[in-house]
Amino acid sequence: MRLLIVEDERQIAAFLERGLKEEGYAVDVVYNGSDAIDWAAAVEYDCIVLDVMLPGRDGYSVCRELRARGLKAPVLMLTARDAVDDRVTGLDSGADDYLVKPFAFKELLARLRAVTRRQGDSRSVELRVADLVLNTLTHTAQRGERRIELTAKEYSLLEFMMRNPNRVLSRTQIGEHVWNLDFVAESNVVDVYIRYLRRKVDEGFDHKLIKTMRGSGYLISDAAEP
Amino acid sequence: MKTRLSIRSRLTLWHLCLLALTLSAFSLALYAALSDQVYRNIDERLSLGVAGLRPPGSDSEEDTQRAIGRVTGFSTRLIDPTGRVLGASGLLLDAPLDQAALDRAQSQRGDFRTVTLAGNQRVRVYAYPVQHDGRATGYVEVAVSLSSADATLRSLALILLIAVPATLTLAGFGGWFIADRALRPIDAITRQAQAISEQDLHRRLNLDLPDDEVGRLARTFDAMLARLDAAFQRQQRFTADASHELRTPLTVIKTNIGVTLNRPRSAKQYEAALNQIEGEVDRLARLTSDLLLLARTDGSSPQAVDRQRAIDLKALAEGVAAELQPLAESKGLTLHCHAPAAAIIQGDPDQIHRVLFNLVENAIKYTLQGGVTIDVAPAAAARQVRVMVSDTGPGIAAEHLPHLFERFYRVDAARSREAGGSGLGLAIAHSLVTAHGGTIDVQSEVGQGTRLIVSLPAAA
Repeated sequence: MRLLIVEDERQIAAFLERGLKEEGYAVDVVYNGSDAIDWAAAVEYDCIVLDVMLPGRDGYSVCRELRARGLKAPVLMLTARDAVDDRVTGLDSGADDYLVKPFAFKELLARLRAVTRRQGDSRSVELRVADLVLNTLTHTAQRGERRIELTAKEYSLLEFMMRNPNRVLSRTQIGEHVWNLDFVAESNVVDVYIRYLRRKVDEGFDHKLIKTMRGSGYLISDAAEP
Repeated sequence: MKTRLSIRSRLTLWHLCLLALTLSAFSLALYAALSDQVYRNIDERLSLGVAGLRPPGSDSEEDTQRAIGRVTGFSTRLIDPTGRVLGASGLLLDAPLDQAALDRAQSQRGDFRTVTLAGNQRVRVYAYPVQHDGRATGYVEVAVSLSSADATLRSLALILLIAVPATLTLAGFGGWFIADRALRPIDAITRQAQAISEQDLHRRLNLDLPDDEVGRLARTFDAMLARLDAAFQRQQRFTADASHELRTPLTVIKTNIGVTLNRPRSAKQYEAALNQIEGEVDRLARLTSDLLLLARTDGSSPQAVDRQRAIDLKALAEGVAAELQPLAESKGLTLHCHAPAAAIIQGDPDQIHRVLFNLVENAIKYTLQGGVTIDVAPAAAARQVRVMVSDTGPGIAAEHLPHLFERFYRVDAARSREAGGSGLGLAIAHSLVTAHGGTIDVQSEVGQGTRLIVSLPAAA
């Protein structure tokens, strides 16, 4: 899951970035509205966390512009304004949800899960491929009877793949959604994490779920090996 | 006691009272003058008629009788000195004798009296003594009916009794109409003003009235609404800004705590988080005391009591320079204070210290290289003490200058917050200087540094 944080108060942005990265999100931070529009056009984000009171153009106008440009990703607005009219303006400008500052970090996490869940096919907190079940709330997986503990990055990678089952995902796609801009396209970090995941998910099972498509990338699928 | 009558009714009533008084006085005077004239005419005719009765050189009764017969239009009566009627005609045939009147006529050489005969007929009688060779030979009475004169005066009174109330009624309606027309715009103003609440102060009466008293009232009212509206909007913006400024450090603290508690941390990480939180709490505390200070100075006037102590600005400025020297040095800036002589003003030392401290601290914060200078100029002819704080900072663009002393106004929001400013420093300085009866001005140009000039009235 890759997030864009748009927040001009640098301290808040820094804490959000740290906390969300620890939760396994890939996080980019920008400090004003026009940067937000540029970045959202260049990178496919899974969710945008947008502050309303920004220097220059405010969050409402940024959100309208993003939607006008065809952005599908959910937008979660953060603001110090809590009047009903402000919330209505926020939602009407294209935001999916609204969080009033100061907010509890746990609530932000829950709302992020909620707005991204609404985007996918499944409304459940659990993702399922064959007998592999991933709980997006506890960040744990289970295959058959075996409980699988995942690190933050392993969880992000598995979640991204399980949200796109039966789809070949290139290393670049995976890198962009699971890692942030620090990700270096040439590095083999994706291959390394795929190896970690295979060890936890497929080792000891006859039916392998994670498959390598030579030259194009990886996919997770219930289908038998071709 | 407050009357319940409307201005409209009171105007009309006053108007009617005055008119009624005038008309009554006029009518009475007219009636009196006319009746006086009418009766005087009758008396004149009577005395002239009597003059015609006395042919010179004739003294016999027969002559007199003959003479009476000649006088037409009058009733006559001839009476001898003993009060015996010698002959009478017309109205005087039945009229009773009045000895008192005859005596008066004898002594005053003639007497007028009015007699009411049977059938309510009023008659004017003139009695005159007849003399012959200095010897009284009797009396002559001449009379004429007053009925035609009375009828004339009665019809005059009737006309006045009808005309005066009719005029008053007309004038009453007319007065009401005029008062109503003049006051109707005031009713409109009242209705509109009632409809304007604090939520829609942006509304105006906008009545298209001529430039008269009421028109001016409406325009004055609109102007007052505009001022109220502006003040209300300033207040609302201030509240919104203050809430934003207070929520930002709260959000930083809450996010920090939330992220820190989200997973187990080392003691070092907890310590780092607590230190960061302490910094934010300090910022909140500073902001809160700044807001309280502003709230207190807002309500006070230049005549407030505790501003009567003598302060030497020279000593105060040197003190502030010494206090802030470490801050300037830590940024590699110079800080000088030029105060050639004592400059005494009256005021609250803590508040004036706060003003100078804010200005100098601000100058140091936004100056990257060079230095800050404080100049204290003692009172000259204008009896104003001036303190100038000049820096070699980046300067301020002209479009920001008018807003510089507004609360929470920031020329560069991000940089200002990094510098640790609450956005209230200059607003507080401005508020305190104004409360001391002084002024604060800014001179600045981009690239040329900034100079803030505080002028305070010198101690008398």
